[in-house]
Amino acid sequence: MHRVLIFAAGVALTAAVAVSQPVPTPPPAAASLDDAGGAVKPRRGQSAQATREFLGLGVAPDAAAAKRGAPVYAANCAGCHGAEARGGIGPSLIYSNQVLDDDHGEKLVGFLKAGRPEKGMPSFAESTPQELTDIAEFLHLQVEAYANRGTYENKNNILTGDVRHGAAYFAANCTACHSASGDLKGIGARLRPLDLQRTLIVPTREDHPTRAVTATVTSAGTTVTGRVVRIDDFEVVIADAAGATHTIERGPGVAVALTDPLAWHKAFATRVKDREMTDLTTYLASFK
Amino acid sequence: MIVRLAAMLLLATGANAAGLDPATLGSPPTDQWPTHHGDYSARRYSPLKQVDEQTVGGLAVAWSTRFNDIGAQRGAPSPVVKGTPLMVGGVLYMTLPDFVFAVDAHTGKRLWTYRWTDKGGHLVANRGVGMYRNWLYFMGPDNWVICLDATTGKERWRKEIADARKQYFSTSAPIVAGHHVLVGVGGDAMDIRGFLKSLDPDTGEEQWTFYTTPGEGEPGVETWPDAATSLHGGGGTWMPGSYDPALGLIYWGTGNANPVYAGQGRPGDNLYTASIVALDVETGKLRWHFQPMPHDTHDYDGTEIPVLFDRVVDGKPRKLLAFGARNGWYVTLDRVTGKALVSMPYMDGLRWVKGINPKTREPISDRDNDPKVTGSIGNSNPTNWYNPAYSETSKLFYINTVRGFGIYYLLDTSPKPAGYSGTVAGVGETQRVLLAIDPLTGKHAWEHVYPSVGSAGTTVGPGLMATAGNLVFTGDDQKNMIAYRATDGAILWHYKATANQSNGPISYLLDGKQYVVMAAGDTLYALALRAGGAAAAP
Repeated sequence: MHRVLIFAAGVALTAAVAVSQPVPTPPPAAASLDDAGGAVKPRRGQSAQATREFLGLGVAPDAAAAKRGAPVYAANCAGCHGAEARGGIGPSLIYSNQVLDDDHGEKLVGFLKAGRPEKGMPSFAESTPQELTDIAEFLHLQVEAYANRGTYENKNNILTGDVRHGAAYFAANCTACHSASGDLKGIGARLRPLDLQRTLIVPTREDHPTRAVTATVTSAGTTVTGRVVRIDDFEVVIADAAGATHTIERGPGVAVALTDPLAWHKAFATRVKDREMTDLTTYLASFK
Repeated sequence: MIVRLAAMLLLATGANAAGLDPATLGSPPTDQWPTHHGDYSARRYSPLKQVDEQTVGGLAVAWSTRFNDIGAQRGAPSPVVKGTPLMVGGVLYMTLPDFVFAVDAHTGKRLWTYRWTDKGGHLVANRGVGMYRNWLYFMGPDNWVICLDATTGKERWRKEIADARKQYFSTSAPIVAGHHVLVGVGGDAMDIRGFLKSLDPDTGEEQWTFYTTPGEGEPGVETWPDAATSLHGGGGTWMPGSYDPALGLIYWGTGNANPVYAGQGRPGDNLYTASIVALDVETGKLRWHFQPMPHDTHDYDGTEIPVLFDRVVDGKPRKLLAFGARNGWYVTLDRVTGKALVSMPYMDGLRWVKGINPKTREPISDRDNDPKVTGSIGNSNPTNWYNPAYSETSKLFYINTVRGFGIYYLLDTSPKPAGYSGTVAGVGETQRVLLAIDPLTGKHAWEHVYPSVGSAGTTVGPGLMATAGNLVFTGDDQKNMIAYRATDGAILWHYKATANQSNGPISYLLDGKQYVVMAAGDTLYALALRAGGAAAAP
């Protein structure tokens, strides 16, 4: 780690600052919303309802009815419109006016009863109102599944890389600071694969004081060193080893030298290839 | 035409004295700020220089006013002003989602409040109003265009332009260009077909519609697998564009292709998404296009504001357009022809580009950087909706940018994906950088890295404004409003606000005094030089 620190200091001095303090949840760096600042950002998978409200998606489908409707849809509709209603010989229903204008089958049930015989869509007059409502809710659930990204869950298997390539990459790039039997022992058991992947690109600073950005501030002959609590163009706030906080106004005659222990990882993020990331993740996940 | 002229004359005489003289639209903004950009060019350049590099040190808050009393809105516990106010006749017209406020520009006191009761739509932002004579144009989140009387705040008419149930939503500031009110839409969740509409300012009647993705048999449809896919191909128009009255052309940036992160169902460049389009203002017909983000699979969009400026190049006067795309790509185009003079990254380390099309000079995007099931490292949005600026003093283009990375995951692997169909996990902190770019070379004249130990705020502004005082106004992400010297980036002034600056600044003369108005969070700040003379600049 020591060598890396020296390197990091050099980088930080020339590049001003690219640093941060413990970040509980890494920000949605590439926000999936066009412009969501200042608003509540429901965490993925935690709050489908919050995202539904945030996006103005209207009423939620009745999940129980949709579940009942699934086999009815499969038996009666999927043949033409596809298993997930995304179209087959018949049109996709997930963008359909009839579906999107409807809540809980209020309009769809009548539509399904009548059908559209002139376009080859049969009448479902013989189905019960309950069955038709259930079909409507099933369709609304298909819309929910794509339109409400608060329902998205990343269940991807990301451990499909080549372990041997990952091991070779690790040996060539990582062993100056890390070892499979030392600091990374059991990391594959400690972290979920998605967290492991993010961590190996740039580790979190949360609960890791040694990863905090530090600064040495020299002003009028005195020098203060410590963890950077806050810095902007006008002020730097430092917590020293004794726990004392120093607030120093920036200006001529005040030199601020920053050291980011994660500078190596930040540079790594700019050059690592996707394939290498996948191989490395797969390899590290094998450290049980 | 004669009838219309007569009607206009009648209205002109009948209009309130505080009304806006349409003849002044497009002039450099001095005693008013009558359009989103100040004028039509979107340079965000004020010719005022009472506040200049010598006097700016004396800039102080003349008044401020908060809008926290509107309470929580869907998904937004407290309001954030992202819109640009207009200032006409001593009155500021500013907005929040569902709200228009008339504010006395002398004092900050509210004169009237208009509240829209929406039936859906996304309350993520509202960018402001457009103005024509004594009428204001405002967009409700559920895609209603509402015309208000500027004196009273009373509604004159309303018109719905898109269906909120299909997840169209509206945040844009209408642009009034000639006898046209130009309104656009946003929406990604349900794979919309983007469009720009022109409405009659008197009646709201539709004049034309330009669809950003082509229909069957139309040019550009060959960049999609089929017309059905194109018709759900995205391309929102959720930011205002610019206008060249002499050429009769409007310039708009268009949004990302849909489905957002999944490209497997839409191989091809996906015109005219994530593009700059030049349209005939009278007909809405496409004159030319330039696509800085072919086949967008990162939600990069191309909705930044095209900035119009004129320069002499190789001894010839040229009408040019500067554009800093959200994907980190910079272009200077001839705005008559759409041909590129400069086409290059403004940000280092772009991972999505693998070359430049030698014929069009558009970048070629790399399919190997598409979101993957196993993850793909991609650039965070290098910029976003916040407006850039161009200074006639320094001849530089200014843009706030963000360096950072995320891991992009493809979730929907079906041959017919829909919606966002993927997700992004941020890695490390992002870092904000203000760039000053020479638009004739693309080179950075200077850059300012905002020091921070936190990540850049996600996508809250701020926008920029340049002034003839050799200044550039913007803010950092630690609540400082900052004035830079335009030519070299030296910091000349700052003010600690109660939140991060969150909108695009404006400037105007009122009672002989130059004001700079900026918002930070729920508060609008009017700044002017202190009475009794300016403090010395630092």
